[in-house]
Amino acid sequence: MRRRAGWRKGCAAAVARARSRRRLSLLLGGYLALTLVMGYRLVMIQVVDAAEYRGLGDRQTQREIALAPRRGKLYDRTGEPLAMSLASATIYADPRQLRTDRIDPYGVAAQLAPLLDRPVASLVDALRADASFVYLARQVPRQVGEQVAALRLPGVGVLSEARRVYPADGLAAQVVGFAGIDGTGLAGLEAGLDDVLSGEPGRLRLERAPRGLEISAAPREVTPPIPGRDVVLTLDREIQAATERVLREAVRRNRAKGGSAVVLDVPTGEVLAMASLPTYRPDDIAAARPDARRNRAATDVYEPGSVNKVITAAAALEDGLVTPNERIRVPDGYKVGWKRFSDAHPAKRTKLTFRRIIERSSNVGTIKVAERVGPQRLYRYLQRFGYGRPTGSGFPGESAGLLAAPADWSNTSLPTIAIGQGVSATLLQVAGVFETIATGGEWVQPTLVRGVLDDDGRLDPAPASPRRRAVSERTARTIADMLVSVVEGRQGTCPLCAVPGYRVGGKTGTAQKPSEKRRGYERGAYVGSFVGFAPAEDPALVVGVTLDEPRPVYYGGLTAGPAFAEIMDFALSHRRVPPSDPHARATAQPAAAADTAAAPDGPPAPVRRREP
Amino acid sequence: MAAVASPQHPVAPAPSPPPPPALRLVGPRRHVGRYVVTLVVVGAIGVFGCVTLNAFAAKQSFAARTLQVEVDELAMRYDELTVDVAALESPRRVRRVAVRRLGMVPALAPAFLVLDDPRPEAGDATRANAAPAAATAAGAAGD
Repeated sequence: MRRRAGWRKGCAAAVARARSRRRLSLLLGGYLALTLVMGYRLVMIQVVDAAEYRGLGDRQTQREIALAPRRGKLYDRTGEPLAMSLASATIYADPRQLRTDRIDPYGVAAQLAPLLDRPVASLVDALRADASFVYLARQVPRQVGEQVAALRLPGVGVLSEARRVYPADGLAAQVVGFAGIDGTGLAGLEAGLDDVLSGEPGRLRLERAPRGLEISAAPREVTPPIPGRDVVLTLDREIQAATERVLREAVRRNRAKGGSAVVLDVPTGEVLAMASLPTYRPDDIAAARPDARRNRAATDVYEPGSVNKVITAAAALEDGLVTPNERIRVPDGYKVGWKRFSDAHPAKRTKLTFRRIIERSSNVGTIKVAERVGPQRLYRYLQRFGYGRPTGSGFPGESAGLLAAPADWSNTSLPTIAIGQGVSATLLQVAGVFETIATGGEWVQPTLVRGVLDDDGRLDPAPASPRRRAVSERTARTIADMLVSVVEGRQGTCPLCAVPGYRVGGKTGTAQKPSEKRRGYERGAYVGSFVGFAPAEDPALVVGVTLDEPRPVYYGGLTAGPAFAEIMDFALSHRRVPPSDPHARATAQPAAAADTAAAPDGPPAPVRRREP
Repeated sequence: MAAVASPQHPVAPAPSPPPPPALRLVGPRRHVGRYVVTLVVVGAIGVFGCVTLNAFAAKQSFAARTLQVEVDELAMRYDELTVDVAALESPRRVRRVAVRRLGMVPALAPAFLVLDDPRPEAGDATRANAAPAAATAAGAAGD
């Protein structure tokens, strides 16, 4: 009996031990599983998703405020400001706070209305908006902001913001362009130089409590903003103002739709003035018409007309296909393919020297020379003179012009392109052609930026303009001499382009405008232009003027020519360029003086002269 | 008869003399009080210096901040005045005021003097000079 009982007891103990071991194993397994899960989460949180959790934590405990950089200024070449930023105040409100604090919006609006120059009703509408932030006024003078802050109105705050101003009274508006309310350049050089002007924003990091309150005792992390750099343009404020004034008067006198003018410094290719009409006031962008915002001299293309004969002549002379004194038969009319070409004023003599052909701007004579040049060669020279691609002046949206490849030319393309129809270019490109002649055969890239000011206010000059040889110096001098006869010659097409005391070379252009509605040209719509340089013996300046649809007289020599002379006259004096004939210069009365003395606001008195 | 101590009866040994006291170095007399005072003074000076420096730095910080605010204010004022001056000097405005309000007319063509001509003709002050510097010189001479 006793033995049996002992055996049973032993079995029970063995079973109990076995159960205990199983529980132990289960417990251990559970523990290991829990450890694995925790380890997995630990690795996920601490290693894999560490950045995300750090970011979440930062967002809960930190607040980052962007610090706007100061936008750089734009100066003219003499250091006069054309665009700069002023401190201003922006007034905002928290309508939800007003509602929470049961504040009467009428009372707040009544106090703000006279300061912000807004009707009370409009302010009440804004203060009742279902939002926690509304602007009440943006970029008002900072004195207004100080007055609003002094009122200590609940739910109303004042922010400091930079306001872009253009202190030069709208001078060079299309070239300078404008910046938006947030300080980003939107047009003109404000947009083109935005990377340089805008700088880099800084940041201020604050510690904040769970409810968003700033912990003032906590350390602040400040990364100061890097201000934008100040840029010095090549524009000369005085020449720009004179150019705009003369162009405005020319547009008014000739009842033109618009116009553009450009003044280039010959040795450097710097643009001293660039004007377009109609224009606008940059401090009132909303009122500006879209066409008034265009910098026509750089973005609008036109068919240059007879001005293009300079390239045809240069190609022929450079390759020895003609000499200046070679006599060429010039009939009344000349048929190429299906089209008959003629001169506006046929010559009495049927044989003219090539020099006289350019002087008289004979279409037929030029076409006959162009036939010797041929399409491929003419195309090559058009490219050498800068046609078919933007000049690279740095102006945003500059047009490349329209120059078809010879493979796409019809049988009438050669004669039409030779006399400046069927090819389009900007005024800046055409001025570049004359710059090439004036420099002695080197095409110089026009530039609008003179340099950038460093932190000490010293000019860090922009790299010199790239230049490349287009024609030989001999050809350029010959062409320049022929172009002087356009102004000084007996049969020249622009005696009105003369500047007293200076020898002037240039070329008139009177081109039909292509129709916007149908194929072909617009009846009675012309672009009159004159582009030239002075003094011819050592050119210092190139001036180009175009008038869009002048009426009733449309010849370039009669419409754009006088404006050219007046602009060139002023620019030469302003740049202190010595005259070719000082005596003639000293005894001459400037056109501007005569104009002012006679009838500054009088009706136009067009002079009809022969000009093709 | 004199009593002689028998060698059979040993005499109890005389107790050994106590060892002489160990020698110890006696340093200079310690002035604990001085040490304490010095430490307290140095500590006080240190604390006072730190507090003073901190207060001075805080004061300078406030002064710097005030000056920075003043500089910013003056810079803003300078910019505003620059804009005002540029607007007043605008060629358009100057011409408008000169012609309409003051009745002025554009200047005649400037004269060019020949400075390197040893014998200028009487009354002929308008000889050509290829150097533009001549024009500048003429202007400087008040011509």
